[in-house]
Amino acid sequence: MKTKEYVRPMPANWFMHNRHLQLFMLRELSAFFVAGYSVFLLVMLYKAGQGEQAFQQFFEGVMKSGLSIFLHLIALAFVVYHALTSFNAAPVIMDVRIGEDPIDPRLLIAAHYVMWVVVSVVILIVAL
Amino acid sequence: MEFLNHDILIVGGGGAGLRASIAIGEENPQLSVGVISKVYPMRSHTISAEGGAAAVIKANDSLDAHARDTITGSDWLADQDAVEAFVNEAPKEMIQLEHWGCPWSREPDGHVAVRPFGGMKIERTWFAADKTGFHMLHALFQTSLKYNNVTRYDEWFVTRLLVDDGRVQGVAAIELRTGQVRAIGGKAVILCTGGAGRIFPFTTNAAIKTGDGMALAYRVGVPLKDMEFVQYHPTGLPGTGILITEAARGEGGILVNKDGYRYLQDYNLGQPLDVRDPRHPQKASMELGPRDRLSQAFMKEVEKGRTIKLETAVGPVDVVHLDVRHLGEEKINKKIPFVRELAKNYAGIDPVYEPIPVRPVVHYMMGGVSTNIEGATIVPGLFAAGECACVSINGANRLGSNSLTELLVFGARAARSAVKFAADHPQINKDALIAQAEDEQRQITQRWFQKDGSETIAAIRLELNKTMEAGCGIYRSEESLKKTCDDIRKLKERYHNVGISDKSISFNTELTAAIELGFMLDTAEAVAFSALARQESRGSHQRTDFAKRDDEKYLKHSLAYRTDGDPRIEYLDVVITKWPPAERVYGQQTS
Amino acid sequence: MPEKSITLEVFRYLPEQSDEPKYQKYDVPYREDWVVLDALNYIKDHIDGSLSYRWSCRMGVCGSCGMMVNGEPRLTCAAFLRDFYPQPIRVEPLTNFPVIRDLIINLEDFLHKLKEVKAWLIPKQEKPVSEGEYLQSPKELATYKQFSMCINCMLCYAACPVYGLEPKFLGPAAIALGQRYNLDSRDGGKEERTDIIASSEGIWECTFIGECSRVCPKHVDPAAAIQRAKVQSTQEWWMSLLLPKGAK
Repeated sequence: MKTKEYVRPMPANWFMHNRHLQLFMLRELSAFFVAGYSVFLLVMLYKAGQGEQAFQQFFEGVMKSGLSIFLHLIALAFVVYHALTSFNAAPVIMDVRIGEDPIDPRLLIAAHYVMWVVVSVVILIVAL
Repeated sequence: MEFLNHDILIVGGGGAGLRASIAIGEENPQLSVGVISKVYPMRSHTISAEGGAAAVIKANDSLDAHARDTITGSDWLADQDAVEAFVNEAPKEMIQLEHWGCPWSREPDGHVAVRPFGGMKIERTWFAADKTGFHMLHALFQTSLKYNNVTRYDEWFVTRLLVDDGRVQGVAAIELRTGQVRAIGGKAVILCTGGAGRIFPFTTNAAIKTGDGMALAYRVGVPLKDMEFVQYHPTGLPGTGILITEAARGEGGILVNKDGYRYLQDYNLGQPLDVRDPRHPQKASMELGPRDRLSQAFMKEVEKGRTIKLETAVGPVDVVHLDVRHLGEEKINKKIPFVRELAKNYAGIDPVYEPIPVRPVVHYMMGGVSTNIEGATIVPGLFAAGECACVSINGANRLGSNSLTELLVFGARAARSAVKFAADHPQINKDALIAQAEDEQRQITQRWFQKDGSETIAAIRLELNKTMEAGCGIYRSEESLKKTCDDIRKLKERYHNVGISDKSISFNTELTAAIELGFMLDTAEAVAFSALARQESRGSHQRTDFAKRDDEKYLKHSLAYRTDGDPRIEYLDVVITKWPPAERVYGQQTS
Repeated sequence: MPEKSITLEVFRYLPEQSDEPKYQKYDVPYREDWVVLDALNYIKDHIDGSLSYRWSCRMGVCGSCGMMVNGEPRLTCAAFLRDFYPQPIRVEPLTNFPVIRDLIINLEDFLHKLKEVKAWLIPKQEKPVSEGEYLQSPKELATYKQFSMCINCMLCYAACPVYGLEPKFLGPAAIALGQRYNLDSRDGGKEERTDIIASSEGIWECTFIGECSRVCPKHVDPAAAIQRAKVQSTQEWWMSLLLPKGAK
């Protein structure tokens, strides 16, 4: 005799089930902005390759527009969110131990922030 | 009726059952094995064992020393030939389990670590932090997955042993999912169903520990041996009965009464050393005395009014304090993390900062299905191993950490003898087995589905629990035992009027609970009547009216046989090889 | 004094009576030290004997009593009524699994997967028992110990949306247990397990939502097992690409 089993289908809005899943979806969404901005950077690089004048035109015409600034701010927010959640996930991905015991996960996260600041400072110094 | 068939059947998928199933594969991979278990194997109660498993491995230890401790602990009721076989095979079995991946805690040099345990005069208890049973069970279960000759019947509930021509040749079992009774044939059947702690109200035992295998064997004429010996673990949580492992004391935890006094020193268990003394804890002394003596000391403290009254949901309960604070957070986290987790969750205290309230709770049945040293019962084709069996190596009191090793050693032994038996008895009577299973199906239908009753499972179970605690507790007397025997007689009568409200077929857990209650009543009967008959005090069986051990009359195993009325109690001589009966002495300096 | 009580809304599915489940309300006495499992036991013993669920050790180690408690996968033996009182508690079978009856799910799929990942020790070097134990330092033990703590309670599968959407996914516990052996210094079976663990149904199906680790009652952290396996697998892929055959 075969008994009938009851199968509950996954609701289409499963990602709304709890805050953790909502934040996860936000992170997934942020990846689009990270990718999108990468494409934009490539375009910028391409323009730079066409000479200073072309780049200036692009800069004045496109980048200084209100829409561009608005999109930049949104992209920035998502990229920062993406970066922070990546940093916070570091202790899960990396198994760093001293002797038998894993090191304090906060240390590992802090190390990422320090690296971030250092890299940012170096880039700024080179840029200025 | 569909007929399923294997060379060997194992009832129960806990430590003993899984060890046996693997042993059969090792002996002869051609043999087909059926493991029938009422729960998924990894749910079995072996999982709750915490402290460790004993086996001689270190240079300062010897097989003789392990045997002597076990026999002393048993109050000389263990069969010494069985103990010798046990200690001899224990190290091999434990190393085997290591080779199967069990994550034993280690010494810095990579060798297996051992810890002191109650009643062991030399430390020899292997451990995996304080989840030893959990890791052993999962290692066995995961290892068993690679043997293709093993068919598992998970969540099949065995209700009857099928006997033809005086031989056990199979089982009738309810497939819980479909609710159908099936006949499963086997040339040999090994019972590995564990204990029966649930016949008592306060127990460390899981819900599934209802004495099924003991009752199944009892019903086909196998005697239950030494059933009066019920181990109270001295440190269970009040209310729930959740186990706080002896390893807490092995690592240095102490027991104190309401005055903060280490009361065990008043009960012939040695003198306490300061907890900072490097010689603390002393082996086989004070907190590391044997379980029977510690539980009895607790009862004396209750009498003296020196225990702590703890308010619980079930009213005030007497407790003492298990104090591990001096071990410090780091050691507690490393050696007994589960103790901390359990105390926090179920007693609401953090043992790093507060002592744990504990009281003795029923933990283990020394008695069980009477087997010989090869795991065979008197009924041909039927074998038993693990807690449901009584070989006996535990006698009147089991030493902590011997039972996990026992299920390996005797699980494997029973398997090997079942393999031999199956080879010598290749034929089974399929038609007779099917007829019996059909009869079982009919009886279940008539008894439970077509008949209603005025009694409830819960009411009878509660009264059984109460009378077992009142009459068969740590201290017993003729009066208390007679009352309990009488109560059980009445409860067995009332059981006929139990009805179930659930008449559905699929996964009817009310039906299984009702059948389990029948098993519990049979097991409880054997406990109470055996206890009434034994007019002496030995190990865990303490009679207020017969306070002394009586080797003249009772250096014998009791055998309870089922009859239509009260059980018949017979006696069987204890096997003595090298260790003549002597006084049990604890608390002396050993090193 | 009238006794305090609490309401449980329990998912009932009785395949012999109806194809559809329903929710049944039960009022049970409220006790400070009771867990949801105690309340279910009260219902079974005193109100409705037909309610079916699994339970055994009631101390959080056998893994039987996982259910959805107010939408969260929990061990009901560790979910205290006091954390919900006086609000009603909704009890349902673990999501992402077919329901056999009431609160009982079908977990056969997991058992097949456990076998598929070869969750047992495949010794690096066979050694007879007579030669004693394999040596393993406490440090080596610590590298896999956490992943060996899995009690197979299935909460992680109930929490994992990937498993819900793609039942072929090996899932958190099975991968963590495969990794448990991969990381064991005594084990040499990693290559045998790679085919399945590093397949599209294995670690690469995981999108690192992390719900498995959040709900794990034993802090096994299966998400860590999976992410670390991904890192390792990627490294090995690059190494195999960059290094000539035979080099290591």
